[in-house]
Amino acid sequence: MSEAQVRVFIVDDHHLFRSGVRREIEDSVDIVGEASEVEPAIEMIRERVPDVVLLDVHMPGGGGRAVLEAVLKTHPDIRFLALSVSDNPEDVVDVVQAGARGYVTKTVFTEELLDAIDRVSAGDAVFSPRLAGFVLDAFSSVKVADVDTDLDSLSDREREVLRLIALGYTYKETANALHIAPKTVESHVSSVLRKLHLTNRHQLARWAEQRRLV
Amino acid sequence: MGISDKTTEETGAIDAPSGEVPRREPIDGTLLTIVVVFRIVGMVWLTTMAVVVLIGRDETLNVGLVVSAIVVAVVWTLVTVVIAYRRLALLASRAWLVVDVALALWTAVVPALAHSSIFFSGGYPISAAFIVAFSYGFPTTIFVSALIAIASAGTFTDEASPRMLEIFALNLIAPTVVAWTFRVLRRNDRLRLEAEEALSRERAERIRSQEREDLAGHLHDSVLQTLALVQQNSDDPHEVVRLARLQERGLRSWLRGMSPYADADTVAAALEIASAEIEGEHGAAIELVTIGNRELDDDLRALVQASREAMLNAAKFAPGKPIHVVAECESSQSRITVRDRGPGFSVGDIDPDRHGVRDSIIGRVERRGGTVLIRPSVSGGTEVEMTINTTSEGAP
Repeated sequence: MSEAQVRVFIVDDHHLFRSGVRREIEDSVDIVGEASEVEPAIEMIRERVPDVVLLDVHMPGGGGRAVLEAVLKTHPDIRFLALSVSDNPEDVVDVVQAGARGYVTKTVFTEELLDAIDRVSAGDAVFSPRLAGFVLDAFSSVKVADVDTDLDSLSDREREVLRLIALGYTYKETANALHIAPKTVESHVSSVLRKLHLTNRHQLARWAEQRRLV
Repeated sequence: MGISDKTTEETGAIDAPSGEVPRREPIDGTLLTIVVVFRIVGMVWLTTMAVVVLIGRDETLNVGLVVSAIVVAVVWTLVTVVIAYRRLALLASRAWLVVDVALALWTAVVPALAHSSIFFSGGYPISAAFIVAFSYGFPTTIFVSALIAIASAGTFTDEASPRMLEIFALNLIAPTVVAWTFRVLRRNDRLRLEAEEALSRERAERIRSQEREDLAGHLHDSVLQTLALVQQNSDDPHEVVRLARLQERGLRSWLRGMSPYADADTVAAALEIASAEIEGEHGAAIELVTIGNRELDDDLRALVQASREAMLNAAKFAPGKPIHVVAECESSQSRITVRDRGPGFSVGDIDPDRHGVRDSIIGRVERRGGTVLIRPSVSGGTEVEMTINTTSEGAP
């Protein structure tokens, strides 16, 4: 992480929330713009090329997924951190699968949010406890018969890491608990994220649908 | 007979042959049965009288023609029954109209052609007019019944008696009356259906508006209440957070259609309720993650109860710090882990007078054959891990 402040763009259709986030983080990061709708967001992000986009998953006009897909097509280096009040697994898994580097809920504390922004800008993945739970649930509910490559399943170590994250452990604490280096935790999480990007979208959608009924 | 298509559309009785069953109103089934039954009656009527004619025949009678009328009536009646119940659409086709009416006219003129002393056609010719009344509108029915009336009464001049006039009038009037009756019945039926649809639409609308009122009522009661409490407690950040979390939980479960007061029947639902209660009562912030889910049985109920106690414990001894709960339901075992960031404690430290942990957590789970692990967590605080073996049944 360099000394220069991370350049952040905020996409959210709730004005109140945008200004709240802005107030909380503007001392620590460089906020280069904000947008409340899908189309203007895509345009402005392409124009200003921020390091990190804080993206609301639930927005009219295609939602966060539309912004993600459009921007990543032309600017694959821009990182997205999903930030949402929705903990509906469909929304969350949808944006993470579309390429977001992580997901945090809107009730996140400021330090945690800043930490997440730093991590994402450095190219790491950020898993909230809830997202870790979703991923574990999704991968464990995929039938063994459907698993044809190891891309569709998690390794035991990855499961352990995710489980500790679900219990609210930070990456460092997770590393301590498993007696591994923090960097190794990072690489496990990144690998889970990659599997999530590559895994069959329909299976995940089916999972999210079932999960919703619970 | 170019008018036939047009009238079909007008009366809405039957579509052009399209393969689909063209019944539009439920009453069509009854009307169809009536015309088919009348055709059978007409056939029996004709056959009986024709046989009588054959038995009492004189030399002038053309036996072949009489037999041909019987054959036509019997065979075509069978065809009618099959078509009516298998390929109803055909009944409205022009080909059917032409063939059916032609055969009916034939049975009507046979008594005269065969030099019979009796008009033995009976009710068969008029049955064709009834089928036309079913499939087509008024004008076609009148046209066809006029043809049949002329064929019946006009050709049979053997005894140009008043009876022939009766037959003529009957053949003309009866199908017309029947066509008109069908039309009235169908219209009533359609109106009744429309009324029923309107009624059910209105009922659905009423239910929706009831739901809206419920939502408004809920928002009013809970959200406005909470906002008022937040304003009163604005100088107490802990209380504000507690109220906000409580309201958030309530709204979420309410929007998800899961009433917080409903009986929980799965591990996830039961934990959701337990954590919401503890948040509400003790102002704790509980982050609940469930991986997999199972229907509750006695073992799992005990497990959930034990984890409720563990959450309570954490809320009491680590106030204001987040509590993390992870529930993992697998096919062979279910495990619930409760982690706090409090000062930490070990089982040995527990005051024997306080039965909380020993009985309510460890005892509960162990009585069900499960295990409880209490250990300090790497980040400080305590982790309580409760595991119970489960059978493969009960996975939702």
